[in-house]
Amino acid sequence: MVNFTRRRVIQIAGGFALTGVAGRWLAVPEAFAGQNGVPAEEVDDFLAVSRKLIMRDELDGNLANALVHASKLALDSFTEQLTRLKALLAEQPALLDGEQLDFGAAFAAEEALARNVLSGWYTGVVGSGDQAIYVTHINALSNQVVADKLVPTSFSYGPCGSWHRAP
Amino acid sequence: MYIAAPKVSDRRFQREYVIPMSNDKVADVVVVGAGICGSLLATRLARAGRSVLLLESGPRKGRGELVQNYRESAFKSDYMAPYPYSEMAPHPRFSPTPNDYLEQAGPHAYQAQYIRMLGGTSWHWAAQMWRYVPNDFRTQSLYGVGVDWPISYDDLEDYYYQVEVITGVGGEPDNGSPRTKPFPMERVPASYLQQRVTERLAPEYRVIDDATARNSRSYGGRPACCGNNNCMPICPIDAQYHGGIAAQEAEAEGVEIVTEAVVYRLEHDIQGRISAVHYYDWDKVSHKVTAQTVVLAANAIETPKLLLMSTSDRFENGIANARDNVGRNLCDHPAVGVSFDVDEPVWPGRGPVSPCSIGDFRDGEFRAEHAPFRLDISNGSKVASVTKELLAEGYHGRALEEQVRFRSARRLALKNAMEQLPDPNNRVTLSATRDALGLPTPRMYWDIGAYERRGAEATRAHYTRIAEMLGGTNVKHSKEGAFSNRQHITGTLSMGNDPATSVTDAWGRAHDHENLFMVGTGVMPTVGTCNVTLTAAALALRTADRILEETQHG
Ligand SMILES: Cc1cc2nc3c(=O)[nH]c(=O)nc-3n(C[C@H](O)[C@H](O)[C@H](O)COP(=O)(O)OP(=O)(O)OC[C@H]3O[C@@H](n4cnc5c(N)ncnc54)[C@H](O)[C@@H]3O)c2cc1C
Ligand code: SF4
Repeated sequence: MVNFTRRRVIQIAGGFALTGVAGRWLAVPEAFAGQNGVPAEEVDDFLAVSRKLIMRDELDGNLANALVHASKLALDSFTEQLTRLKALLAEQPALLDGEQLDFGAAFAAEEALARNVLSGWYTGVVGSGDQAIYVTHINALSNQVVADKLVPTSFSYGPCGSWHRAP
Repeated sequence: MYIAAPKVSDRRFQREYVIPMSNDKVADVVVVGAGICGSLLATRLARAGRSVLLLESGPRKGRGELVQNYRESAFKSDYMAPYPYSEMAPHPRFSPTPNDYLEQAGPHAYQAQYIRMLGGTSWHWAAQMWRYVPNDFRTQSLYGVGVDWPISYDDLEDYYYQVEVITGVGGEPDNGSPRTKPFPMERVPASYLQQRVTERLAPEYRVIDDATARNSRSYGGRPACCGNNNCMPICPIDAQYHGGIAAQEAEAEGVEIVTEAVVYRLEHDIQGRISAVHYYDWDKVSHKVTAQTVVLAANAIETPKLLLMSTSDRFENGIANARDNVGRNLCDHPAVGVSFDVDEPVWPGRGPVSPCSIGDFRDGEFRAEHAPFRLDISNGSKVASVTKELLAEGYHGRALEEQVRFRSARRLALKNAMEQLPDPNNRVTLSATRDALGLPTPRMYWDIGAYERRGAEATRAHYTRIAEMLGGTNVKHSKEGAFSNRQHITGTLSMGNDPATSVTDAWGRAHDHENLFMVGTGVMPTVGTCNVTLTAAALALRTADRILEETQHG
């Protein structure tokens, strides 16, 4: 089993931020998948939960793998919490009916993990403060959601003045 | 009433920290600090044939590495995060946890974000290169507030232009600062956001292009801006000028640069002339440098710190500090901000981050009553910040994505650049804390007066009106009574004609030390209503010319 360090997660995930990417979604390299010792079932659980929280069927499996790896490093008892969150969403799908998460006091821990899962996908960073781990920039879903209008920061928009026209 | 500065004994330094010297160097001029000001001055001196040694406390790093650091950072909104940090030349650091390098002793935290690295702080700037308006130089005579400069706009006009040519500045010509020659650079085309805001606020407000050192075409061997929208914290293609480029140019001109050289003490002779400059390398070996002329360019906090550390029996309060003015009169632009969602999509994030502003309140009779200001309109991408906001609100699923799009498209943020009057109690002194080399760290005291608070009120009234004109919803003013510093650190080495109230003369020369000059924003006695580096750089070239005149050979 290969054990990737915190830094290595960063290097691998950073490695695919390569070129100008207006409107494009770059896949996380296949090479990363399965090399970090994250059990496939855990990634499957993570994807299952993520699909419900994000309401998309198509989510990048390699990025999910990287997010799980980072979550295991950055979040306390991630694996157990993930199992519980998966079970809760299966038992009480109505918890996701509203636009904003509100699982109530009894399921505060599950809600906290749900927020962390969303945060990982949408910001590309898992955890906070000293525990924060960068996973991706251009593949963060927030960047993907606006990809027809903006490029992720630090990538070229286009020739000088191309931003003059209406987006 | 002045607040006393803690003293650091000269002898204690020698006893505790000075390891035997080695590799003594000699030059015509030694410059301390390779930021934009020190580097531009060094280049000019070297070009005129002087041997110049430039001592830089930080390391040398390339742009590629910094860009990668940014992309891989978990703290992208922290402009310090991509920059190298060393305990040997510490600077303020904010993430993952603040290092509290600057001790805060005042009612308002002064959170300077300066970088100790070859090229200095302007690595992560917005390249706004404004001239002052002429009346900024005589606010005491005209409005009875602040202080008059010992020089006028006219004294600086040609130097302004020289820096604009070196750095490639373009912008709106009719911006309150008269010009004898056109901008050397055509302006970068306005974004769609800027056009919409300009149209909708006219004629009540006049939105103009900022003056920026940003290429709209290839210039100085650097490409045109291609809209990475990352000017702060790092332009990935050097389309904007910065101190790293200035340092490269200095080296190409023959300036000898020593990095990882932390200057910690100035030594003087019997006449008070600076006879030696001492620095530590990062192995804490002490080195001694001698030169005919010494120029301090270590920024408006580290230069006062160095002067205060350089005590002796004769100058027991430090070099250039016989009248206790060093480090006092710290000014900045105490900022208040607003954000709201415009009633149409304008999509901030296309093109440069800081392209335009409203300059209607920079000057006028009202300056007798309240602080003048300029209103900066941000074009920085809001995707990351609105996403965090929405996640904190618990959004998920389709609603989250719809809201990310909605708010990212409409979020507009403004901040003011408001003049703060000099106040001797606002100051830099030495803290009791020591860094890894045993050197004291800076201690800041920063308060905001009634004049600025009235300026903030006037600003907020305009914010409300502007939000209304743009159909703004979700209007959020920054917290009442809270002010952030805009990184325009001025006043701590103020120039003036009267040694009783200033640190340097009109050329940046220390009043009591004939061969000691200072450059950088610290020598500026007032902060005006614009970003300050163009004025500091113009003054640096003027100081360079003065040094050349005074040290003509033969
Ligand atoms: C986020 C941000 C955005 C900004 N945007 C703008 C803008 O758009 N327009 C504008 O006009 N200004 C802007 N500024 C301010 C601008 O960066 C500074 O005014 C400018 O860098 C000052 O130049 P300087 O050469 O005086 O000092 P610095 O750039 O700070 O350089 C000082 C150098 O001295 C070195 N040094 C320090 N101590 C020692 C020592 N003991 N020995 C040897 N070397 C030492 C440092 O390592 C550094 O390299 C911005 C600042 C920040 C933080
Ligand atoms: S918009 Fe991009 S290319 Fe232009 S100056 Fe800013 S970072 Fe550089």
